[in-house]
Amino acid sequence: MIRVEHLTKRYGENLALDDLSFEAEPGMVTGFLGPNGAGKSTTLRILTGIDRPTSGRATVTGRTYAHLTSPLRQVGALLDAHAVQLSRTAEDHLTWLALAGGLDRRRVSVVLEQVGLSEVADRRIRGFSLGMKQRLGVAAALLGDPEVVLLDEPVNGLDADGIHWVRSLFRRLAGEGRTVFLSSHLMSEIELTADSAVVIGQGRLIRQSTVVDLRNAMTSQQVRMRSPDLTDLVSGLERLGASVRLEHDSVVSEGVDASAIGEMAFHRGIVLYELSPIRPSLEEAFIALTKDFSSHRSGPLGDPCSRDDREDEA
Amino acid sequence: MSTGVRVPGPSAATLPRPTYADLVRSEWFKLRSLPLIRRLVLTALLLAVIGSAGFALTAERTTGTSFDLMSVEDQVSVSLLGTDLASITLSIVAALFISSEFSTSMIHLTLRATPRRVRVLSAKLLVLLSSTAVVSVIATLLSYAVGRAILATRIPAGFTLALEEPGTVRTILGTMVMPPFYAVVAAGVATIVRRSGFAFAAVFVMMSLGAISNILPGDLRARVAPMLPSSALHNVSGVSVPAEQGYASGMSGVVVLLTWMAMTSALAAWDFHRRDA
Repeated sequence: MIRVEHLTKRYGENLALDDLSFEAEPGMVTGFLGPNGAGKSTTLRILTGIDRPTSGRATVTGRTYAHLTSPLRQVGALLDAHAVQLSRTAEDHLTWLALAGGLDRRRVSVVLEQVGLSEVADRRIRGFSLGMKQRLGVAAALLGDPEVVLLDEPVNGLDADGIHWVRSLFRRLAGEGRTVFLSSHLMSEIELTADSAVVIGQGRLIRQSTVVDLRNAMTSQQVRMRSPDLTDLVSGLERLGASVRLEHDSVVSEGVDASAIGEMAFHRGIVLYELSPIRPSLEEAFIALTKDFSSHRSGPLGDPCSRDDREDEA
Repeated sequence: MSTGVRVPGPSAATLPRPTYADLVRSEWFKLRSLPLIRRLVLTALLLAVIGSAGFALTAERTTGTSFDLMSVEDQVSVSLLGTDLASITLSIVAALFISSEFSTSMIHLTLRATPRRVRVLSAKLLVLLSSTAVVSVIATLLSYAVGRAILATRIPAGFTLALEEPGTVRTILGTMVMPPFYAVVAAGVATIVRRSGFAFAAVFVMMSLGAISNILPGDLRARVAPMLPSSALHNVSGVSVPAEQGYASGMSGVVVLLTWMAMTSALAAWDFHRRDA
């Protein structure tokens, strides 16, 4: 269980978190979403005791991180896969961590096996790809067989196989009753992995709900139609109370569902070539939800600077 | 909590708490598993030998005094000059050991395993103090053996560098204090500045305070000199003479060195505890 209560963090003049509160339950994968600069990493840093809050409280398994009995057994975290000394071998890296956490050193080979790095255990981390470092970070997070797992942008740098593996891993960990909390700036990632989502922007909570509810709340009833009888169709739609707009050779209505439109067309003898509900992707829903909270936004063709910023944070 | 879900692991009350010994073992493992640190320790030993040989072979020319006219303490000092080079190298080891964790952000992982920061720092300092002390004993004995062997060839009659000579053992033991002292100070400074370069610079300035203090007016210099690490190290090893700037008893030298170590460590602990990592 993760509980964040009225968390505020100031870095000088900059307000990174502003009275943020939410919870993440055991047995579920909770996605932590927000645009870049929303305060996700700051929240994770406070949850893991690296930064201290200006006010408020963040607890894992009922205690602040500094007061955990056996931190690595209670919370496993991957915040930055690059935060390693490159000249050490993967095995040595996990060994010092196991020693510090008072863990059985045999756990090192167990987690290396689990993340698929056994073959390269004695190789220096310097030669690892980003995906391998990410796997090593996951291994470090799982070393203490923890109740709560926190991961910051965990699929970054992983190849298709790695992404599939890590998603199955999260599902399995949650299935075992653990609290899995993962941040991402990609709604599509959360859609595929998480049961519930905490959405933040500019350090504030925008919404906390299940992923299904989030999508439903964000999608409106839009339907696209193509027909040779456009005038009749538009007049029929307006009688149903839909707002209508023309897009190239099709009509897009909003406010009436597709079945009602189908019946109306049938009764008025209107020929339809296409009648398709438009379901905005969760990504679009997320962009709509957070557009007022982004610290920077792309221009119409995509602003290269924004893309660089995203990669920097990733 | 969701119903019907197994929460893994034992409850917090029954979890074994990691001990301080676990932390010290972890820091020791960290230190010895870095190839650069291993290479620097070997370099320190090599420099102790090469340095002593080099100084012993050239001391008469560089000081303008023949060995025959030097005091026993001075002869021992010359034979031990390689330890100074080992000490500089071990200070680099200490600063690097600390600062590289900050520069790579690996310190975050360390603090996730052990959130109590002062405990982490004390384990790091303990490991550095004890490991540099062991290396220092070896480096100083190597240095002495090489220096003595060379001096024996330069002073044919009445060679007096034997351990039985009064003051020799004290000089050797006092010299052994220098590397761990500077290593602990370097580690403290590195914890505060979090960058290797700044930490090396600060320690080199500290090593040079004796020379720098010469710009002070005479009476102020006389008061400050005994409190400088270089003077304190000379006082501990008994190589300073009453006429020398900074001369004091061996015990006062010990107190000065302990105060420097305690002050830098306390300042580092306060800063580490206070700041976000």
